Parts: sequence; C-alpha cells; structure tokens
Amino acid sequence: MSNRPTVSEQYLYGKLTWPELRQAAEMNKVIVLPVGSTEQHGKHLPINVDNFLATNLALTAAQRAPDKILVAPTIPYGFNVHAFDFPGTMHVPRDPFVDYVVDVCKSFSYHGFKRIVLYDGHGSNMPPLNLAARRIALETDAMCACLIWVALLGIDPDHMQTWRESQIPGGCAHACELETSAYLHFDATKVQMDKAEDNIAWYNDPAQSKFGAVDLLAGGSNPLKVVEWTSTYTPQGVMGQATLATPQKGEIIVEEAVSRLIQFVEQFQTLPETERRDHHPKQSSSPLPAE
Amino acid sequence: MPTRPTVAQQYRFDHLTWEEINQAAALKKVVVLPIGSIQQHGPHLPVDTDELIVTSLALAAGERQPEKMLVAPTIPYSYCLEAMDFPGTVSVASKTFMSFCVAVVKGFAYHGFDHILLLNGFPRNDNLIELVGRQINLETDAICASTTWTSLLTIDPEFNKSWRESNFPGSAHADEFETSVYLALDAISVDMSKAVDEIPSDGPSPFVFEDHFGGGSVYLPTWTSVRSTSGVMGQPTKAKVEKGKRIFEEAVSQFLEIITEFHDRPKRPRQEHQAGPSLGPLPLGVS
Repeated sequence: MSNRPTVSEQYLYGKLTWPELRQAAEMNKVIVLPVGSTEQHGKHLPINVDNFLATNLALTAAQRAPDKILVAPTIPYGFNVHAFDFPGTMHVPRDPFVDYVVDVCKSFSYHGFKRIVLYDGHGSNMPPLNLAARRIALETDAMCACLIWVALLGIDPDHMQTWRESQIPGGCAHACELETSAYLHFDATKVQMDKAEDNIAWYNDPAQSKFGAVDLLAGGSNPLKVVEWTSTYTPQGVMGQATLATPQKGEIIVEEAVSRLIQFVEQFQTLPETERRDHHPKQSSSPLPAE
Repeated sequence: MPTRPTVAQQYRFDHLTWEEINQAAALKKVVVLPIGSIQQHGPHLPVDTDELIVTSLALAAGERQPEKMLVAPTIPYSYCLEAMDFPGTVSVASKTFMSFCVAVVKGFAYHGFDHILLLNGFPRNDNLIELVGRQINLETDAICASTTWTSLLTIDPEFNKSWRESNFPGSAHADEFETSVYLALDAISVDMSKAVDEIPSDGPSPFVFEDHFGGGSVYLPTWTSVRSTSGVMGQPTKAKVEKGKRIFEEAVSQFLEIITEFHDRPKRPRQEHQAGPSLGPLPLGVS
C-alpha cells in the first residue's frame, strides 16, 4: 500500500482533510477549478468532452507541480441553452451558474486561498465565467483568473503550425480536429472515429460573412459575435474537421496546454498583492451596488 | 482495446453521444443524479467524503443494472454554511444550489428522460433536495424522486445492528459509519492515526440530539464548531474496512431495489377541482 501523500505532494483539493487544507492555504497553493459542460459533441464524441478535457489537463499540470496547484472538483454543468436541440446537452441559467461559481470561490477565499484559476472547458461559459471572476475579484480579497484552456495554445503563434491541418478559420471550433485529437490522446476507447464528420459552418465562408468567422484558435478574430441556436449551423453538432484528428496531434496539443498552464500558475502565484485606492474624500456611507 | 459498450450496457450518462442519448431515453432509463458536498470531515477524512460516497454508490449500482439506469455527473458542491469554520468546506447559497439542481434536472426532462432520481450525499441537505424534486414534478412532465443515501441503511431494520459499535445517539458526522465506508472505498486517503472520537456537546436532551440513523424530534441548528472541536460527531476509532464494505454493499443492493420500483412507477394524472378555469398562473414564485 502506497503512502498517503503529504500536503505538499497532494494536488487534489478533495483528498485533503480540513487541517491539511489550512496548511495548503498557508503554502499559497493556487486553486485550479475546472468548469466544464455536459454538451453534445457530434456523433463521434461523448457529451463529457468539456469536463473530461478541462479536468484531465488540470490534473496533468498538477501532477507536475503538486506543490503549487490544488485541483478542486470539476463543476460539470455549464451555460448552454443554445445547444439544446441536441439530446444530452445540459444548461444552467446565467444567474445560478455565475452565483454557484462565485460562492464556491468565495468559500476558497474564506479559507485563505487567495489565488484562484477558473479553468474553463466550454467556450460559451466564458462570458458568465468572466463575470464570475470579476465579482470574485471585487467582492473578496482573492485574485481570480479566468481562462479557457485552448487560449493557452495561442501564446506561441507558431505552435499551431506544428499540428494543424484543418481550414483556418472554421476547422477548429467544436468537436473538431482540436477537441477530438485531445480526447484521443487521453482516452481513444471513448471516441468513435468511424462516425466523425466534418462541418464548416456557413459563417466561416468569407463570401457569406466577412466579420463573423468562428475558430477556437484564430485569436478571437471575429468582430461580429452572433450566438444563435447551434442547430442552425451544424447538422451533426460538429464545427470543424473532426476527421483530421489523431492522437499524435492530441499529445502535442495537450503538452503545450499543460506546460503553459504551469507557467501561468507559477507567475500567478508570485504576483504581488494589489492595493485598491478609494479616491473619495471620505469612505462612502452607502454600500457598493455589488453583484 | 475494450469494445465500446452498447447504449443498453452503458450506465454513464456523460459517456454517451447525443445520438445515443435519444436511444437511452427511448430505453426508459432512470437518470440518477448524485449530489455531493465538499466539507470538513474531521482531521482524518478528506473533504470529498460525501461526494466520493454518493458517486461511488451510483456507479456501483449502474455497473450492476446498466439497462435500467444512467448515472449523470455528480454536482459536487452544495449548501454547507454551518461548517465554514473548518477550512476546506465549500458552501453555495441555498437558493443558488437549488436553482442549479432544478436547471440540470429540467435538462434531463427536456431530452425525454421522464424518471429522475436525486441521490443525496449530505443528509442535512435532504430538505433542499426534496424541494428540487417537488418543483420538477409540478413544473414538468417528468417524475423526480430523491433519496439520501444514509436512509438506504434503515430499510432493513436489523442491518445497522449487525455492524454498529458506537453509542446511540451521537454518531452523525465523520463517524464510525462514514469512516468505515471511506476505508472500504479508498483506504489510502484516510489518516486513521488522526481519528478522534467526539460526541456532540449538546448535553443530555430528550428532544435535541443527532444521529445518522434517527435524530431527535427537535432540530436546533447552529455552527458546527459550536458542537464539535474536531469536526467529528461520533466514534471514528471504531471504523473498520470490513464494516464499510458491508455497509456499502447493503446501500448498493437497496438502491438497486429502489431503482427497480421507481423505474416502473407511473406518473398519475393530475385532477383540477376548481369550479372553472383558473384566473391566474400558479404561484410558483421560484426558479
């Protein structure tokens, strides 16, 4: 029987006891909270893609830097009503979703964890999660960072060329070359590549839309954001070229995402505390219009 | 390479594709939604105790009866404000927690699953989860039931006598019972060298006392730290892995019986007895 890990070695928040969590907070471990979604991902991928990838990426990073990272239990349901024409998709409305994330993070902050990363696995979670991060920053004395895992693949502008074959933009948007490859890397037995299909959504055709292209890795290039029912622009739930996915590409993608996450956490952990300056002549007698 | 399970064999909701979800709904599978809590469990048990037990229980049942059920991803965090004096406890406002649960269950109903069973891991939240089920039954065509896992062990009135050594009452948290089950599920994560016995400091009262298997007739809530210095209520030093294995097995087999009954339970038609059509909407008032 192997030994119980020390607080410094343990990277799972849930596996610590309360006296150990007090120590972990004193060690200034950074909390990484994966926030996913249970959502359709085409005919070839299970609906747990966003939970599965965000959780596994966070765990892989934490295994390499357990003294710096504590991975909290994943929030497995996200913001998703636009995809409801596809069975299995789950949705939590904006207010309970944001409030849930904020309360979980306020709990971490209450216990002394002052660096929290919201580590998102689902694109449509980003607007509400950005709001949650902002509220945590303003309503607690913790720092809260918010990122979607794929964003870290854009730090090295040349990295994408090492693996990507699909069309830019549009080849990597949902259940695509990118997500399918990453899933294949972690667990190929759950992927039915014989059912993988490609679909480039109409708005990625410059002749039809000059401003509205959508790609996970095109650096947020579309100035025109229009969120409609998913079923209006994909017949099977794919946005991109799933058939180009391979586990080898997945390994390259995962390695980059994990090493960048560790780099970010290392920097985030050592950021100096900031100080708010209130420029009113005296402290206001009214409360802030919070929330 | 293992073959991919068929929809009938697959008991994990989130391992299906969207096409397979349609098939699973047509197979009339019961969706089981485990609801945990991340909270202090004394100096010897990890804070994921409730989440681990309820998830493991649902999956063990699913493995044995996959044709009748699908286990959805566990909602890990819930309302637990009273334990916030102990580091690591996470609490989500009760209203937010309930709205979150209602939204998820309405999602199952929307996709055609008409039998949903909420499996609660934190006994103190059984009232909140009952409210969730009630709302679903009145606002959707689905039927939603809830059960708190500890109640599975009182179905057979003789069962708890067969393992319990700790005093009654007073066995209520991170006790002989929960510690034994954690030992059975993941012994490496338990630090038995730190286990301490502590009986809640309520004083003798015929009205106010707590126990996993039968509390007093009066509920008098307060901060956990008022009642226990270690976070333990009970006698975890009496925990044993063998007791945990027997308790878990009993819970799984009783849960399977519940699934079997609930799977076949019809939703009976509502009868409206007003003399004429109602002049306004129902006072639902909650969302």
